[in-house]
Amino acid sequence: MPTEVKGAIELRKALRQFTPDLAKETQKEIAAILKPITAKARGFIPSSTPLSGWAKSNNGTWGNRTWSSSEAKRGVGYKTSPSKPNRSGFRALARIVNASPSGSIYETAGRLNPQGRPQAPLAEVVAPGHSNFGKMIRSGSKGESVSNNPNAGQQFIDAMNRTSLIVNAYQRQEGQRGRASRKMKGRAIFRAWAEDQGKANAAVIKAIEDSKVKFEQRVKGK
Amino acid sequence: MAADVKIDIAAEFTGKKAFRQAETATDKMSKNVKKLAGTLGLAFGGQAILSYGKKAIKAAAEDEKAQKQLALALKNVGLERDAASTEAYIQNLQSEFGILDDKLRPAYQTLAIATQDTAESQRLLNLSLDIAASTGKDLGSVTSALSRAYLGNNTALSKLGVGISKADLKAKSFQDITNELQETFAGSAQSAANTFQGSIDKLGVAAANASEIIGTGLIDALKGLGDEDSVDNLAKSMESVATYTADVIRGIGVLVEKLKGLPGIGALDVQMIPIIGAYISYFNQLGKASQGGNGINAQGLAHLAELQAKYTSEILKDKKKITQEENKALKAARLKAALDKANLALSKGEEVFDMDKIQNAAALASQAEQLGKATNGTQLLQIANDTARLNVKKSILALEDAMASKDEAAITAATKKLNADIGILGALTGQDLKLANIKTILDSLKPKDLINLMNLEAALALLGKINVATGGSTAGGSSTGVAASGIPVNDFIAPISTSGGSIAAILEYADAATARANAFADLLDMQNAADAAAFNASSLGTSAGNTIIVNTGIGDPNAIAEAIDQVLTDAAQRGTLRQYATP
Repeated sequence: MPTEVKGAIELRKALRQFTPDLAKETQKEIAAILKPITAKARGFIPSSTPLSGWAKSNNGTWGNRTWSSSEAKRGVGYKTSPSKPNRSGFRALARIVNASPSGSIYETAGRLNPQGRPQAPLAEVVAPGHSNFGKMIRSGSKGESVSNNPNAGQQFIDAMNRTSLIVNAYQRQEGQRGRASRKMKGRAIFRAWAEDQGKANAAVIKAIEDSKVKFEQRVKGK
Repeated sequence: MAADVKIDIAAEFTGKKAFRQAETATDKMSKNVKKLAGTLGLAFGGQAILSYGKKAIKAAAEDEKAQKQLALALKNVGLERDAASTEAYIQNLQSEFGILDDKLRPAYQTLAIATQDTAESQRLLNLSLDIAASTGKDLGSVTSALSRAYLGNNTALSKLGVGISKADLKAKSFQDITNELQETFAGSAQSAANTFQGSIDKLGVAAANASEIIGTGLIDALKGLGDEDSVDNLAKSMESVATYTADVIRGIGVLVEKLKGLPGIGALDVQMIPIIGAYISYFNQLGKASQGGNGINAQGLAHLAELQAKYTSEILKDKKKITQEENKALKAARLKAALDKANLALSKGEEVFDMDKIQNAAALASQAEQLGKATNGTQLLQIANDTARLNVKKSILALEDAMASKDEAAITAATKKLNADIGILGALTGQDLKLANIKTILDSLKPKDLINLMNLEAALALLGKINVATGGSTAGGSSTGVAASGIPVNDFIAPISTSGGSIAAILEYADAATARANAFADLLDMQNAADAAAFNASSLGTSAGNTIIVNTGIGDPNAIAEAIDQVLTDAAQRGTLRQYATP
């Protein structure tokens, strides 16, 4: 749950239009605040594959999700430009991301189902032209595992947890109402964010506030 | 997948797209309704009605001009005989589809010039209306494309995006193409007219037509008006009529709905309404009779412009008058503010004034203290100088008080005192100093004693006189005779011997001596009382030092008591308070 700031988007536009140097300076300040967190988050990405078979290249479902430490580490970064509005109409002014597929999996595996997804039931393929026509296969929804190993999910998550446990970085704001966010849990960027204890968040907001003051001073000075 | 793996920092709410769309749609709707309400004249003021009248006349003039232009165009292409039917056809389309005749006439004119056939023009206009309603293109561009296609230029038609391929355009005839388009877009215009927006458009058309009709009527009405008052009256009347008419329109809506239920009655005829219908018909006939034969002319418009100028001038005068009154009010407000400010300053001045008094009293008290410490003549002179100045200041304050109270006697006394003090100060400043004057000034600081070393001899002499006057003996006088108290001089009981006598005799002697002493004590008390009475009766006893005069007038008893208490407290602090009797 990010802190809500008002007028920052307009401030950024004004900075870029009237004081480009100040806009760049602010971006640099925010980057300097977020960089240590991303560096720490990269440190939480294991240098070797958490599961021995994950790093093997294949062409199946996991063809584009093959483990690569370097790729996973490269995927951790920050952005200091405002995001697009989300479904609720909020735009983030800065954010830390874990963008690579394998890094995202490492980050979030077991976040929703700590014991792995339940196994999908077996069903006969009745489509005449299907390659598995007449065979029994597992067919389920997104929340169900199609592996024939009923403990596959549990074993995968346990392997992740051996390198790092999932950490909840959710910080409840004072007087905040409603259900707590369930998406602030993870092993890399969320862990680094939790260990920062909100200092970076405060520093970013302060940097924005400072830029506002500087901008006003410049404008009045002119 | 990676969409959720991020940490948002410092988000800002920028609103939802759906909300913005809904807001925009609502704004549009409310604007349309407002515009329609304005067109129908449901809420008009006098100026607005005049403005509306002007617009109505303009609309009527433009409508007449458009009719003439179309008639001329039809005449030029040999369709003159169809002019009346064409006008009726356009009016029909206007009311059916809610499209203003201002748009229909140019469109029809374009098609008529191209086809030079009334039936074909009407067919193509109907098709154009369907295509325009379906594609959202404006009617003018659709009719233009169709007229060009009729003449063999299909480019514009292909650009309309009506779903005809280039091959078809090349291969098929214009008739086939238009037939295909008729099938494709059949009923689009009707469907659009049946929507809510279509209904609003129809009302808009009706209102525009009403405006044009009213404009024509206004021209005739204004010809009979003389001055701006007449315009005012007309405007007020129109406003009343507009309100009344709006209610009538609502009533007609209800009436038409009721009439539908009656067998044999299809539509409303005003003359069907009992009594009122007759009146309305009468006004209708009256209006028709007074209708100008030549329609709208320059004379009517010029007259309207003249009246509007007068009306504007009158409004300007009123505004100027209001501005003058506002200026006056502003001036009065400024004056009041200045007076308030002055009063505030005066009140502050009074506070200072009181502070002066307080400081003056404190300074005088300080001088009295310094007097006790003075050791040489120079110091005495300085103290005298300062005291004289303070006395002057005190006198000034007293005089100001007297002036404020408007008490003539007090003012005279205070003035006299001030003059005296100024005289003393002047003498001191000029070093024309006499020791006696200094002494007088300094004596004013000293507490007033009833009897002191200076008047002790005189007091004793006076007491002696009192004693003699009351028959008493003088000090060191004869040892014989009787004192004023009646006790014989040297009258006492001879002591008895305490040795050899009886105890009873000694006790008897003691009792006698005690009784005699008590008698002497009583006599002494009587003498003291007599002395005190004599003293009080003397000039010393009646001196001002024993009387406190408080000039408080008739007022709050508490204030008087507090004033007395303050005087006594001050005296006690100065050390000049001897005694005072409590009631």
